[in-house]
Amino acid sequence: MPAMSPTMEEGGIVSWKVKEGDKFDAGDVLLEVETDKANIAVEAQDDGVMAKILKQEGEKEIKVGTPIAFLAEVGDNLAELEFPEVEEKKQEPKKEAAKTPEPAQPSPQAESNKTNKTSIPVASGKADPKQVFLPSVELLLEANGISRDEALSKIAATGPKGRILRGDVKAYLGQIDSSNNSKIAAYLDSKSHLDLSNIELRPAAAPEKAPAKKEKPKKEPLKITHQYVLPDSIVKDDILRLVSKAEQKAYGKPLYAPSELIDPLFEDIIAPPRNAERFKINTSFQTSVAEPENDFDFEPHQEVQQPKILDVELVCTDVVDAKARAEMFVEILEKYISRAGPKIN
Amino acid sequence: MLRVIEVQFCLTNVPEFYAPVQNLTNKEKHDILVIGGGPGGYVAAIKAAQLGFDTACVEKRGRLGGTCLNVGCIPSKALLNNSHLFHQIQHESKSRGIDIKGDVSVNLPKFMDAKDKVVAQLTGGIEMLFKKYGVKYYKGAASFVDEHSVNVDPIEDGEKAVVKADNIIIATGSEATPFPGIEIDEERIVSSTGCLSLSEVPKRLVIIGGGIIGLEMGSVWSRLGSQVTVLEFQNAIGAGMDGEVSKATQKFLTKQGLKFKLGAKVTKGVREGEVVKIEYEDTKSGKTEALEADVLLVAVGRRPYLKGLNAEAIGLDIEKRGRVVIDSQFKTKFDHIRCIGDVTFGPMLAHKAEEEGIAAVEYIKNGHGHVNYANIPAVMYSHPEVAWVGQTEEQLKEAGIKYKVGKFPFIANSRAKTNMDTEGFVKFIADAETERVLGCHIIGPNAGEMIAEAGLALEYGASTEDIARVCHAHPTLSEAFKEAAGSVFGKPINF
Repeated sequence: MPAMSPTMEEGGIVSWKVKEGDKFDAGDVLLEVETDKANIAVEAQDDGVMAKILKQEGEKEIKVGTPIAFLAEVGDNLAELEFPEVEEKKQEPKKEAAKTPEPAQPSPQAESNKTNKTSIPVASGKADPKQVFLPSVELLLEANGISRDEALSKIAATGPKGRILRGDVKAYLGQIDSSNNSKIAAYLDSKSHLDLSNIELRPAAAPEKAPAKKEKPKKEPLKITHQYVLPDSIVKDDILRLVSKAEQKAYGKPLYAPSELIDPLFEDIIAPPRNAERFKINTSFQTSVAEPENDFDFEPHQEVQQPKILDVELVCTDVVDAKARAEMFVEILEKYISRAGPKIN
Repeated sequence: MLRVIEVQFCLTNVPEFYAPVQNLTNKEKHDILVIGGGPGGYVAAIKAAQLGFDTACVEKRGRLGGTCLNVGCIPSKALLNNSHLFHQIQHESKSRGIDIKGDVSVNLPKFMDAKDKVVAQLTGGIEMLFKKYGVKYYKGAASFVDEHSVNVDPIEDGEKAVVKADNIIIATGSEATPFPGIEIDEERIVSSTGCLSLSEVPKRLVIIGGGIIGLEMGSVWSRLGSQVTVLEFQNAIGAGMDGEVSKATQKFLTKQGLKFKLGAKVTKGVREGEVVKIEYEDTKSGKTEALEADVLLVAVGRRPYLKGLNAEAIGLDIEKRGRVVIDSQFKTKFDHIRCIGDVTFGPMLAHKAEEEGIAAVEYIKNGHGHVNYANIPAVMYSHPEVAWVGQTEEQLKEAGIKYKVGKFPFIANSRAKTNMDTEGFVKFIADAETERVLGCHIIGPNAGEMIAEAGLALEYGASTEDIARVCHAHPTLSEAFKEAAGSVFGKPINF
């Protein structure tokens, strides 16, 4: 008998919605349970087959945690199944699902999902296979000769995100009633959300408007462009060297001047890795034909490819400081180019 | 950021005379606009910028950080810490073997300067963080024009603007709830704000409200020499504290010289010259009693703040206590307008607003976020400090959950002993069968720091045994935490 509320101690079965041998899917209503407060539909958590109904319709005052039916997995041969003996108080540890069916123990989550939209699943029952066991869990498992694999595959976890708790192991060992675990999990889950029920509105002061739906514009990568006027007598190769030098500098230079509020060590730790790409550099040159220096020079015109203007386009990546570093690059290159100045041969 | 760059494109591609026009219209469109620069708002803005959104934040105070940083948590902690130091020098130096020649006294203007300096540094720090992450900061008051645009009425050096945004996060916070019939002049009758910068130490300070704010302010001025009387309408102080902890707190504060009148219904508070006359009714006996004070602090709680936001213009749903109605993803009735912090549901705590700020932005980015309301710590920075997280005994009794309690007193903790600071205890509440930790309540030195460990235990579903099996350094106060956990089902070693 599942606990449908933290305070529920016993309940009755109003009706079964599936017959023995029926298949069902996760989310299908299996039965209707009667509590002291209301009739609540219990949904299946997983796909399966109804193997055997233990408590018939109309039975009342069934204690929470008492097995009421056996569910088998899809594809199980019902005729070959052996059913574990059911004790009145203690719940049998779950046997291997492929051979023997599991006692029906839907968690109250099915119910809370129905009544409370904001609820997130807590007691999914499936243990997270990657978890590191809590010290109490590890000790209990060892003391009782339960292997890690057995624990992960068979113990129903009621902790956050599939964590096996001390209580889960104790329930598996039959030392405590397993319903207690799901009851606590359900209670804590109910406390983990804001109570947004029964809100009484203040009378509205102005007429309401319908919300306007709008499509979000697609994000384009950030681009920064800059134009450099190049000094005379600087050759293309030199400029490209300066560009790569500025790039190195822009990646390496600290972004902030040291101050009371900025700790360079800390900044280093939180900053993205130095070699992460911040921006791609696209360069293009506007060249001009070199004019002869002297009109009276009668030597034949010699066409020299002399770059006059450098266009730089920086395409920024998603890295947090991409824009800042790209801007830094623009400045540094500016400085380099102006420093390169006219060369004296 | 994207928009600004588009403008740069325009500048290179269009005839020059169009450029300024482009500049003006494009600049004020953002992916996310946060209204309010308090702990909820500024955290949301920085997180949004970190997640790659073009983000802006409007704040009308002139300083970022909201109530918390400017007139709340931060300045009060500066006063609490320094007044505690003064109190210790005055009362404990002898027993600690420190001789003091001459007078020890408080220089109140400089005492306040120290507090203001900290506040200025921290608010300036947030502005720097905005610059660092590229959050556009509008200095001014925001009011809704329509669901997607907000008018910014500038203050100081701010700029006038109509800001458009795809997503808006309302984080306008709260203000002190006024007491009906009592007029606050922030001189003799003050709110928490005025109480943080009194120009002299009042001889008699009366406080209406025995919640965290009232008790912290009471502690500060009592240490500086005021005779403090706390009037509380309920029959327990420390609103929402575990009953046992509340009683212990009252005992410790009474020992420090604070007076408490519980079940006191204040009926009058009027300034007459330089004196405030107060009358209250003892709800048990029905008798009316009178009190005089040099300063009256009204600290009866806080209420949502929406002034000037023009929420009516877009017909935002607001419930009867003034809170903005939201769903579990912080959405108001509009999918693109979310609301977080004090101005909506839940406890009015800075760290709760911060969590919500991050979660709201994550909802916008990924469609999911995380705030566990069953695991929000509360701390009162009196001395001894009081801190708690999770469920109280009262709550569990009401829910019909069987629990067990384990306690360990600081008097049996070696570090507390060496510090000569042994008041209080650590108290664990755990499920009776599984030992799963359901709540932790600490009263004692450094309780506020220690409670974080309990939060971690709750978040992971740990049992008290799990805590007791984790090695804690010796000699530390945190050993008391471990021992308390161990004593829920076993026996403590050192007690």
